[in-house]
Amino acid sequence: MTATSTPTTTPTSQQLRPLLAADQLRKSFGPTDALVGASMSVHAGEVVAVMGPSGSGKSTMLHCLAGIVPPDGGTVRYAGTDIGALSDGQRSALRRTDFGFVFQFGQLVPELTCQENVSLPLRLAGVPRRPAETLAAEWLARLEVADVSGKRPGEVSGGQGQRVAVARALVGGPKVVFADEPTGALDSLNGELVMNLLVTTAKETGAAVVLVTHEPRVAAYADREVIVRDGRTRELEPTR
Amino acid sequence: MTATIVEGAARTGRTTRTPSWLRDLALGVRLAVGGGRTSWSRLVLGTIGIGLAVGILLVAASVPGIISARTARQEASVPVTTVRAGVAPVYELNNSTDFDGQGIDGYYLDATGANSPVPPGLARIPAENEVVVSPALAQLLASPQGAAVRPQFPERVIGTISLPGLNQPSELSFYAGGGSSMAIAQGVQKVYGFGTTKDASHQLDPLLLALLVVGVAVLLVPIVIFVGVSSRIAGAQRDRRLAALRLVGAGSRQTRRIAAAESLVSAGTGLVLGTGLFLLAKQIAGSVELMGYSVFSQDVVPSWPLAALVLLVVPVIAVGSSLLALRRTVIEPLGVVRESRPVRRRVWWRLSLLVVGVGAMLLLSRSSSGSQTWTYELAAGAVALLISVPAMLPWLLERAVALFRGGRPSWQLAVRRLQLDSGTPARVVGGVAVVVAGAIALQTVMMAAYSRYFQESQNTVTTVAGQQVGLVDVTTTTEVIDQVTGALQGARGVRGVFPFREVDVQMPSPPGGVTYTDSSGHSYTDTGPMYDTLTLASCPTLQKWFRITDCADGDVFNLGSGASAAGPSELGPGERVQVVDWDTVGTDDQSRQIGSWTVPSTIKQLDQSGSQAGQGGFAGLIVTPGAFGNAAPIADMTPRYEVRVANADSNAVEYVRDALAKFTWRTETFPLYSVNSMNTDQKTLTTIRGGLLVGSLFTLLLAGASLLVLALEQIRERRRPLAALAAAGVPRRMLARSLLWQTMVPVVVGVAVAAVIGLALAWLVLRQTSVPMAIDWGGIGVFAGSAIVLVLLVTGLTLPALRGATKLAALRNE
Repeated sequence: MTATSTPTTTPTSQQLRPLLAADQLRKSFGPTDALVGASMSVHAGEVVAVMGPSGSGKSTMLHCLAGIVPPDGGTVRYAGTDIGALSDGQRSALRRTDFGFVFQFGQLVPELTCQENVSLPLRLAGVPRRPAETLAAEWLARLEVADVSGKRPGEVSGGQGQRVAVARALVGGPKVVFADEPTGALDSLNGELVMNLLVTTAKETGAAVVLVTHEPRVAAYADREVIVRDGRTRELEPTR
Repeated sequence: MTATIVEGAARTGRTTRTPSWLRDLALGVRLAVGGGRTSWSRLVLGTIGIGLAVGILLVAASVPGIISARTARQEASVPVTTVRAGVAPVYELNNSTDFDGQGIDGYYLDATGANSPVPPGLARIPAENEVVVSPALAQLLASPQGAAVRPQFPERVIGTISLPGLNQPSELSFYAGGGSSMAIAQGVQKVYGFGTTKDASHQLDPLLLALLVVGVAVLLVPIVIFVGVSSRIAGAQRDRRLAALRLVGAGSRQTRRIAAAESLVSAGTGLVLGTGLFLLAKQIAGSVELMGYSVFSQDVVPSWPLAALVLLVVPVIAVGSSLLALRRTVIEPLGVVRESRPVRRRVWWRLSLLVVGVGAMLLLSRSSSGSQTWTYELAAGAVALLISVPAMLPWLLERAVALFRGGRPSWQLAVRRLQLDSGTPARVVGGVAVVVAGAIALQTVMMAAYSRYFQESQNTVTTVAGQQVGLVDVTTTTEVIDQVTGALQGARGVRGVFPFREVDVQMPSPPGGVTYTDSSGHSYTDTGPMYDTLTLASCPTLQKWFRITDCADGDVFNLGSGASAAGPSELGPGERVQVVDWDTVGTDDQSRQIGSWTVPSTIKQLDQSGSQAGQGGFAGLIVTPGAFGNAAPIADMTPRYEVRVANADSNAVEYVRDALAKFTWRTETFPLYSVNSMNTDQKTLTTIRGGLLVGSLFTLLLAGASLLVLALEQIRERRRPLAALAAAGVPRRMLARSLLWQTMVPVVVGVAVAAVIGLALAWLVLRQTSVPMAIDWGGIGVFAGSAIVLVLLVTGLTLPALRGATKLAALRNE
């Protein structure tokens, strides 16, 4: 295991161009350096776990990869396009159509019902209400939370809420799902349930998953792991 | 990249043809109405704030229409005295009176032919012993309180005056039949038609106008603040919601559109509520009297351009205020960038409001009091000064809390919290502070106004032989003089009757005329004849009235300086004058000579101080009958009386009128006292004070509601930290004290600012009206105390929420 500053590839995907690639990312928050020349890549359909201790910069890495936070230096390329060169509107559209997000908490709109939350990315993309809600209902059923479709996020349990969030992340058929500590606020049983559903459905739809976690048990769901420490990345051998 | 986005959108299914901005607005509406209790409370408060603002502004937008409708009716009622061929004139004699300080405008009419003009609002000219009364007078006559005035209308009431003949619903007026003998009455005029152009505007006393303008500003500013605050309720929650929308792909413009749509919902419901409130106000307008004025419901029609402006501008303010709240907030998919210390507040624009306010008020001295420019400057100055209170407060509070250190844990928690974010509490407290500032200003101006109006009224109180009496002036005609004298002497409450007669005299101007200088400094020369007045009174009358012993028939007296409102007569001994009578029938101000008289060589000076009753109706030279001789027919001289009545009885003047009612137009009664009844200005002042107190209380409650919402909002947002503190063993009482300090510190700073600005505003207003300023420290204490009580009340009401938030269950995430 050696520290690396170039995009990493797995032996099975050497012939493929990475779907998402970060190169020499640098990001500081005031005097604190979060990323110092970090690089990593994600291929279509693979599950990559980004691991590291608290404050190592793994969440910042995810945010830069998703185009949420602009890096101070380096580039992030998605399907060959430099995300940093996109306008705010284009990055928003990208999040709407190509990316999905599952965070620890706070990503659901409390005023909307679970079904409305799941259909939200479709509605924002211009899909009419009825087909959007039909599709949302299908996804809620697929993630075994059809019974909470009419409830607001505040009225459901944490595990149910995370499954609703997973449904929302996958409903638009994203190419990449970004999950930041998706089981951080859940007990182990609910955590496993959510991870199983997330990874299984992502695999079924062909979506890649970038999974930020500090729990080895969660990282075990990944095809491979990238370690972030002191703002630098290094890659471990494939986990399975 | 574009291709990727398009592909992505296409993958999600078929797209709608609805424009994206419309979808964003729809989502905003959905979030505004479907978000549970918080959304509803935000919607309700926003609706109330905007509704009140719209309602008040629509009423204000109706004022031009009200004035123009009233003016049109007034102009249509103006009598035309120019001869019109073929028209049989109607004789008209004004005989106004009053009741309980309110004027009763009365006219006696006598038609001379079939085509005599009929005044607007009347179906026909009433015959003798018939009367047509205004609806308000009819109501008064039918009410128990009208018992005192009912005997004054012995005529048969044949109907009520309809809308075209009325200025306002509360108007007390009547048209009575005068009979053919009225033609020779003094003051009667021949009217050939009704309707002309006349400036019928009534200018309010500048001091009352100032009170009114400041009062309206005091009421409106907190409402505007409330609209702003209500759009920021649950702001943090809204920011989180918008961040969540950003995460799933909403662009920054899209999120702003969604936020704007959320505000538009409360603006829309507020417009509906405001329009409803306006329609309600329109319905009850006829039964409400304010400042001596009332309006007909039909007249309350907003000017369409102004109404359109209100309906357009208020939602814009609401949406703008909401978007303004987002200006320092960068909504990102990860949340809101607002956790860092806020940017240091700038003081220059806040101070500029203060400077503009003071400047506008200082400029007032250049405009004439009560003029339109004066009113605008006063309004602009008062509003700028009042707005400077909430504008200065965040800056001052930020500076103040930055100085605080250490202290007990509850104090430390509160101060640290305020140091992190003092803007929101300062904005809400700004609403309370504006009310306090306005109330202090109004209270101070009001005290000065009271001292002016009520002190002036004391001048009419008279004490004779240790007994308080009032004076009533009665004018009559020669043919009924004996009956009138008898009726007066027998009237209830009358303590003395002093008869005299009055006549005008004319003399030529001195060579070159007389030069006058008016108040604006313009001089003009009058070369026409000059006039003076003679009062004919017997020695017994003068002895009793002026308490003099040296009086013999044949004496002539001149009242000393200050004894007469017009000053002492300038007629000199030996001067020859023409005695004249005014013939007003069919012509304007034409005198006819009825005799001539020479002023005797000796004129005695009369000191009125002995009378203890002032000059009453005595004017000019006072001539005993022996001195006047047969210089002119006595019958052509107007008989008058000074009548002393028991001043303690507020109905005394009504008893006099009752006793004289049978003489109809032949007598005119006018009270010279006002102790138990208030004059129009006093009534206006009392009405304004009442209205403003109610308004201040209302706006204080509104501000209190804002404070409560803010406090509950803070508890809700800080639920987890509060629960964590409670879990760590921090007593709940300490947390409650911390909340109290968090509200109390801004309020104390706010009240201090409000007191300074309020007193400054009062001083600036009063220096325009030459009324000395007196600070009512007790009143200031009451208003400041009310604000403190409000804080305690709000804190008390938040305790249940605090108890809920500090339960350990609040720590659970799931």
